[in-house]
Amino acid sequence: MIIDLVIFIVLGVMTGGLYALLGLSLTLIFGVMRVINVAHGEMLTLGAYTAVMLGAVGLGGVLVPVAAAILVVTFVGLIIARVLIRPLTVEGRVHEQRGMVMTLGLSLFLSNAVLATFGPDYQRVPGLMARGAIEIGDLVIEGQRLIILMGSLVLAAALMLFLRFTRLGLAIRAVGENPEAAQANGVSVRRIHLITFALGSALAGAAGALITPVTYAFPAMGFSYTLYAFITIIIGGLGSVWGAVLAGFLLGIAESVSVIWLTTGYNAMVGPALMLLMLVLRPQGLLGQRIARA
Amino acid sequence: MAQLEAAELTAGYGGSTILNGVSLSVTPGRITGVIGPNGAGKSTLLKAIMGYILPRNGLVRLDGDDITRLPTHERIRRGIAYIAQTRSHFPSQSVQENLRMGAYLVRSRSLRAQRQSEVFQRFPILAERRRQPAALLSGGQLRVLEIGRALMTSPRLIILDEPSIGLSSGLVDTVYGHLRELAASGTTLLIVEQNVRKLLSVADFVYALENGGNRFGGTPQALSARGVLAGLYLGAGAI
Amino acid sequence: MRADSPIVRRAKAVPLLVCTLLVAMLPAVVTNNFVLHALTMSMIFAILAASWDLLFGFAGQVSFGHAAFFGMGAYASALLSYYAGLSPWLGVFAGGAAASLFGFLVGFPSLRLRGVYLALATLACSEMLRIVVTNWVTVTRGTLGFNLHPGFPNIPHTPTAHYYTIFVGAALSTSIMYVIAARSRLGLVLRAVAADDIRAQALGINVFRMKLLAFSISGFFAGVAGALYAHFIQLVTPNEIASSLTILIIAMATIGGVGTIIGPAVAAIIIHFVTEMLQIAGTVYDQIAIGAVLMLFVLFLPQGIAGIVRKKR
Repeated sequence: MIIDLVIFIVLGVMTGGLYALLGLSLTLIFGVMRVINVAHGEMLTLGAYTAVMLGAVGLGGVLVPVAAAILVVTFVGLIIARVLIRPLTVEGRVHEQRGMVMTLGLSLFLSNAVLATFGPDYQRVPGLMARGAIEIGDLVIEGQRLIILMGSLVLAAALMLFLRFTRLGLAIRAVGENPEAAQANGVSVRRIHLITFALGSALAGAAGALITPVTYAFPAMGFSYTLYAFITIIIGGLGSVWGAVLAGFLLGIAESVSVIWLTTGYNAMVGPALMLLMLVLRPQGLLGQRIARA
Repeated sequence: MAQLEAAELTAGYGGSTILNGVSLSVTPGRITGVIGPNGAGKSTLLKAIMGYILPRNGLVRLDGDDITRLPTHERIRRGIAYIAQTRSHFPSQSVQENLRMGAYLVRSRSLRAQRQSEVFQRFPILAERRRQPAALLSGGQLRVLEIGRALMTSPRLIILDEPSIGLSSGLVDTVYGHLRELAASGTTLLIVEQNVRKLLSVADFVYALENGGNRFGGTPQALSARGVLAGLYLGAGAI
Repeated sequence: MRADSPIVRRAKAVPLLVCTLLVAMLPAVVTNNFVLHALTMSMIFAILAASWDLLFGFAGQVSFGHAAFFGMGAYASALLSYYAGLSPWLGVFAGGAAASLFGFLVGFPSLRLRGVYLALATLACSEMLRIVVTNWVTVTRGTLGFNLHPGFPNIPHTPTAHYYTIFVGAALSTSIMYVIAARSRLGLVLRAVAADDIRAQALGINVFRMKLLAFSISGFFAGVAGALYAHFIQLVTPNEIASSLTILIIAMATIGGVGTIIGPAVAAIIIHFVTEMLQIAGTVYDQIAIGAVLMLFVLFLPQGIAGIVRKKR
């Protein structure tokens, strides 16, 4: 029994890394711009399909698809932020309602554009990033999934170091906390918004590239990841970087362990249920700050 | 030549107009004050000067250069610092990080370090609490932090929007003491205030705004002598 | 997040009546079954979009789980008519009631929240329903879909008959919703709550109860739409509870113009009909177009089509 629990926990940690990365990427965008980015998952989709395309021409491995996905999605993210979101920004904050509807339309647009371009079939990267698996008794850890975990941790760490120790990272945090004060210090809030959106989207794209060897890519894949990203940041706390990481792993573990009682399939309820619970009991999340401004 | 000049500024938000042809001139090295009842347009004036809003008409000039349409960070680069009315700091960041943000435009690390130690020297309380999150500071200490933050760019002109707000009279005296020292060391100050008495005690020149327009411009003595104050705050019939 | 304060938009009665009559007479001229089918589905969407607008445009509550009400109504009516032999005519009301109850249950935890928190709470509930329905295979047959229930009894099984059945349902639903929203005291109270619920509370309005009521009413009609759908198409799958449906509803309502009830209904009909026709013609660009149109509307026409119509007056 204990062994089973440990196995499930370990498996949960594996998926938790991905959730943490997703949460981080969204908390960046939401924390700074207050945009309810319904299209966040579509950035992941774009990254995934970038990896698929590279795989189709024989460029596999880990670094190349992830780097390419980051590049592509950064570019797309900048365009989206400049053309679609900036017009909705007033005094450093995006109009909440219009921003949501805008990203909603974007989500519709992008997921169907992918459908139109690549077709509805599930696609997979041919070949594997890493072969084999580590076996400890009943526990089987596929190399692929380990790569995902490692990749997620590396990206997450890079982001957190960036935010903590660089000038730009400080500016991003400042804009998220108090755009007027940031502007008074000489920060160009508009530029920071562009950078933040591109950065958050790029991370989601990187996640997409990471998961393609394990998960099939299909046009509508984005939304469930958007949902998980939101679940993670609500549990962790809006705007909290450590909260997103913590919540990501908690979610992964909870979802995995709950299979013991809920059976596969029903255990997918854990995420939404936890989010609802957190919203009702403690909307600011585990580590979130009191929302100082409405 | 005046260091900062606003000429016939007309500005507002959306469909409404708050400022209707307001003019103002700030002399270098002096303390200039702006008073007026609520809604007279004082904050709007500051926002137009800083570039948070673009005026519909009129000019803002710094050292003779037209900066009316210049982006805010450019104006800061040219030596203006701005301390807003409310919460002009970052609560979750430490005192030191708040100062670091103040020096955002200062690229030279040695320059930043030098200025930070100057700020710490001027305001020892900040040095004591350098690693504490700003959220833990009291109202008066926050005001000091905001001034310190403004000083990190070594500005030639500091604009303050109601520095006395929310402070006890003792703290107001302390803050104004610091402001007087700053002016004495050569920094130009433009102060908008509700606490008229305090402002008049330090200002060299005072403007009074009413309903988006200039009502008075002169020395504090002239202001008191002409009895403008009562009319300003109590309505024209009160004089 | 509040809806931008909804201004009372009163549709002119005469043009509406004329349009309704025209729509009623359509089957006389349209004989193509595909077209009739598409039109019938469009009217179901009209009810859905209108019900979302009732909640958002008038009560100011963002529902991101509206597909759940639809699905709840559909499954409730389908399951009841199969397992309990309930007549589908009653099933329509049962579906509405079930969805309304679901809305009540969802509203309880959610309605103390605002804006994005409320939206996410409704989404969470919607997803949980979807997962339950997907996995309770013994009852619902899961992803295979449930198709064991009957269609509408006592009417011929022709496209025209179906068209009129749904038409009556849609016309009634939309009219009732419009009357509630725009011309009743309840609607007035809801709009007050949407505009400024703190002030409304100060006026003695039990804000929470009002929001709950709005949720239940909106849910009811979405459930009715679901039940109508269930017996019309005779297949209900968990896809009916998918977020993609919610997204489509929100898109339709926004393009139509939130806060008007009629706008979203009309927009839903046009959008769905056009996309259906385009799909039959073989293009995949219909949904891309909806997304693009929505984005353009948010940028340039935030009041939707209803806003354009108003300006022209």
